[in-house]
Amino acid sequence: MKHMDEGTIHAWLDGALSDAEAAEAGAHAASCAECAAKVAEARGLVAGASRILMSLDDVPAVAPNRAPAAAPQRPQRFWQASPWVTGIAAALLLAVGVKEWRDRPSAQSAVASAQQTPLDSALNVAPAAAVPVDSGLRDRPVSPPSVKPLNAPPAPDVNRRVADTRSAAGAGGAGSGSAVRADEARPPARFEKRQESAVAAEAAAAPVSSVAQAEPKTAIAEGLKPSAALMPPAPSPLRSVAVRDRSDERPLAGCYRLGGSASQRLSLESAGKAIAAAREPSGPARKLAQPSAAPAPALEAPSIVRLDTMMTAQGRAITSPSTGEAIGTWRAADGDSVRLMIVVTGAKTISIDNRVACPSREGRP
Amino acid sequence: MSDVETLFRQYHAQLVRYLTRRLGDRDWAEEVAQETFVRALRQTSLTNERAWIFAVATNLVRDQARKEIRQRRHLELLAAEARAEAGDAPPDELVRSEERLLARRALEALTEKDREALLMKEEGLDYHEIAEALELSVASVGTTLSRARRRLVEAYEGLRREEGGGRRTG
Repeated sequence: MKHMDEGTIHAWLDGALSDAEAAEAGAHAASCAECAAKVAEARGLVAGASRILMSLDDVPAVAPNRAPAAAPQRPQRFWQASPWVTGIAAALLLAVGVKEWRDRPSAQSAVASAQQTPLDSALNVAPAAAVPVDSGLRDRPVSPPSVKPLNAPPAPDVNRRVADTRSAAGAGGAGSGSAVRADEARPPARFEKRQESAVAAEAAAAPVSSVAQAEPKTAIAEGLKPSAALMPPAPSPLRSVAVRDRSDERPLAGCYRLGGSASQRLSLESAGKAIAAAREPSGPARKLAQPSAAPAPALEAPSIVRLDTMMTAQGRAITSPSTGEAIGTWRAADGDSVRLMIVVTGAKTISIDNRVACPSREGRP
Repeated sequence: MSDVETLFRQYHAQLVRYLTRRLGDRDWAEEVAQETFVRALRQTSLTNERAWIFAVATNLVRDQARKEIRQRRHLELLAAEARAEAGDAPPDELVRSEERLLARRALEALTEKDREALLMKEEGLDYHEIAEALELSVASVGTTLSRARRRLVEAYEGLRREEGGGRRTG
């Protein structure tokens, strides 16, 4: 068999090869030192790229001091008004991530799978884990009154740009507006097999300007009206749960040692509960169902975790210092402590006295 | 197809993260995500939902992104410098800020398609979805990703060396 090219190697590591191709790749890598070295290098690139991209996630506002006075101009972002939706989204992401891991192609050659699949599974799980389930562990009141409302509009140019894409009639907006409309026609035509003729007819029939003029208004109306439909009935009045500023938490970021080893052991019961809760198609994500009989993947909370400043909807991210993967969320708690919610493992409060120096990343790609 | 509510729950967070990495601005990302789902409301049937959503979002930002991203990166640099001078950022924060800026510049060393393919892969799209969203052949996705990853890592390492490279805090 000829040597593996880079594209094939990456496809193999990403789990994109067919079972037969993957088996062939594994067999070859096992017998060819040169290709095995290429595979090792590729693994490093995969992990390195992933880590680099993760550092993009903590994005503070470019203009941090927004004028709240201008708030009325901006439509309420309905999806942010409910912690429920993001919680369920997170739960589904986690369920998808766990399912991907458990359904990973096990038909790959034994040589490859032992080393390879944990890596790609981890990489597959990572995006899901980055928005972990906060199932029922949210015990802090939401949105203290002093929080700056992030619904306040950002710099005026954003509104202008948004207005441009939405109204084709505005001066100077016609160009971008119709360009956007044309783009919009393209993917649907590609994806909508049955509706092709209808889309083509719609795009071609009316003059572009009138179509573009009519559409934005209905789009806005449609986009804003279903807010009630999109939000499941919340138990409490809707509050603005936009990503909170909580800059007072930032100094707490860093590496912490978790307590003794016994308490880190994952209990199958809690893992099963978390996964069962994540799989719940309906109902509040916080309601933990009876423990699932399904065997859960055995995960261990690492003994040192990194509390990142990166903010997700449920809190700031906890990452593993060695792999950089997000494994949970944290927030400041009462007294000198922080509350950790590690995916599948559960919640834990630790004192800030547990803080340690972060393990060095020296030598890692 | 699943109704928009289901689509939203499944893909909104991923889409926002993809767009945040792409654009470097969370608010802007959420604007575009909203626009994408609004368009989804108008579709009556989709054969490949996630690919469609990412394709629409990608198209929405493509033309505007190039110029705006450069401008915004400049603004972010200024903001970071201002914060540093004001001295109100903890050292950890400064390191994170710097890493993020390096990552952003390294990401921009990629071609647009390479960048988009890699970001989509990071959100869990499989090769078929990426191929559909970006109009590539499935066979070429592997090569695209390998090239993107290599360029990203090399660019990042190169930039770090330039910056004096000595800071390697974890």
